[in-house]
Amino acid sequence: METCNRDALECGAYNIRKHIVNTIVNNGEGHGGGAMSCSDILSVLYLGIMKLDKNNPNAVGNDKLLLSAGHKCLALYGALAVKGIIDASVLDTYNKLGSPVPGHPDATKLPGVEFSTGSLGHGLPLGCGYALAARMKNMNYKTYVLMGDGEQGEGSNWEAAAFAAHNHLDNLIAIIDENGLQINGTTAKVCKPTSYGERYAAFGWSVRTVDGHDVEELFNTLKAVPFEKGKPSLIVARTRKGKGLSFMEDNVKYHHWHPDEKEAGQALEEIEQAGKRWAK
Amino acid sequence: MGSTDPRKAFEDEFLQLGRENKNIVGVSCDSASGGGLGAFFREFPERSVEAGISEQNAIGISAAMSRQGLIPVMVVITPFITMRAYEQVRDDIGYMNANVKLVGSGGGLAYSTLGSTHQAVEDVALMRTIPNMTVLSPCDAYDVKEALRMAVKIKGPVYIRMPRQAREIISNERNLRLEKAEELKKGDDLAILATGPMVEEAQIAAEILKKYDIDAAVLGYMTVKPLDEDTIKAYAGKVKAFVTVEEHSVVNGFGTAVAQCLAAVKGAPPVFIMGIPEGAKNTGPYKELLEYYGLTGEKIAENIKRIAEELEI
Repeated sequence: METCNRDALECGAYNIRKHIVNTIVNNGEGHGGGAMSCSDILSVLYLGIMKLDKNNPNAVGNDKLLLSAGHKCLALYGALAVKGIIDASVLDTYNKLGSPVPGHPDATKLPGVEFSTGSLGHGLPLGCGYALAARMKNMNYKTYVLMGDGEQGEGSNWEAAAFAAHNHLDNLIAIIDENGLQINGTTAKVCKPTSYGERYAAFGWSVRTVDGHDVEELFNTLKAVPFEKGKPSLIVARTRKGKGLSFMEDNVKYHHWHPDEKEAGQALEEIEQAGKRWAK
Repeated sequence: MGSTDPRKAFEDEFLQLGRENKNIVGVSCDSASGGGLGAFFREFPERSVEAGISEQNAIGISAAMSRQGLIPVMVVITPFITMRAYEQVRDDIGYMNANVKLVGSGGGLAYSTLGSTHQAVEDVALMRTIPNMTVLSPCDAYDVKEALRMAVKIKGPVYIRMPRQAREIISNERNLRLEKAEELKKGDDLAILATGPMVEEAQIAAEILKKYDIDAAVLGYMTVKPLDEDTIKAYAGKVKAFVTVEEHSVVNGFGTAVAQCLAAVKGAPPVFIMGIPEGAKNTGPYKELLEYYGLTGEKIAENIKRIAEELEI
């Protein structure tokens, strides 16, 4: 996509959220809150930004996406379905025995997944490896790492942050889905002495902050990377956990969602209403 | 034969492999010079990665580079590569079957004077549990070269446990084979199965045991995983005891793997596991420390003689 098609990107984000909600309602549980907060980001990346051959989604020359906070996998599965890399019907097997779409993504089971993630703090080191390999092999793909804000507590991120800046990996783009919540409360309450942007900037990254639900702002910012030549780029995307369902937004209890009958009904109703915009 | 520094052997062979295969990448965590990456780093700076003191990060970097067709060889002091970054090794290398070679610099008691943080006597237990991981434990400089060359040929993760101390090279005319025990001495009374530097000590022990009319076979196991079970089973039918020797904890290492194999063999002879007791963390000069733990040829022979007497061999 050369210029932003807001409607297409918003429609993509809507369909990702619809996959998330349907899958959780059908299965009875899932990491809903974080998946909903990063749906717009993944829509923009997959439909608007990333260069990848959807018939060969793990090709060496494709742009890379690492979902570092692997528990948000339902958003990734939704994005892969919207992109046409996987058939959406595979989501019917979610969490069933031997499913290719378990509760954290498994790269050995599902096309389009680069690494099996779930343990936090793995994405950025892996991203450094892909970015460095591109330089060594003289290839021009870009590497995107989508991280959570809570997972910034993992020290491995800061090892990688230093490495990326020291090695001038300007083909590496990290995005923090800053929804402000983690399991035990707000990130501000758990452990957040300074802003993420300040920290990465101090490590030598070029940082921009955006509204993580504004697809046009996300698109234009992602089109502008690297923000500075010779520096890795960080986008701090301000989001709302549970975005898209009124009762879930900014509510800490929906990190892992077990919908009861009433919530399930309301969620399906809200999704249906939101979808009327694209109904013919 | 002479004795040769295993790190020098590694450095020479790694440089040679780098000349032969342009996909090989060296990965250091501030460990290039001490770990034997120096010559490669000087000749191939464009294929050299200095991650600094950041093992978790370096494992991730190596894993991702391998997915792009590169063959990272990461050399770090053993506890830091096998323990500090263990979960990264499991998730990003093991389960992903990533083509990364992990080299533990100074396995076992190699850093004998430096205390429990630098000694590594649990690494084999940890690495042989990692899915898809081949575990190689060379004895001397000759083995090191062979192990490194074999590791690069394998399409998947390999852990090489590097010896550090120079020792007598067993022979330059050997036929080391991956996944196959090396029958260094035949024997009918009992079989000594050894890995890493203990292969040499086991040979010394077998020589001493001749004086007591004990005919001990010596089987060298450079490949700890996958374990050559066929050779163990073949010996199970003819010897009266197995003795395993490793410069490693007696918990879950090479000896445990051998015992696990023999547990399924009907009427198998007993197996005696020689190594380092759990939690032991004595320090001192390398040879003296080996002696303290009963891991010199002389001490091994002494202990085997006692076992032979008890079993009336």
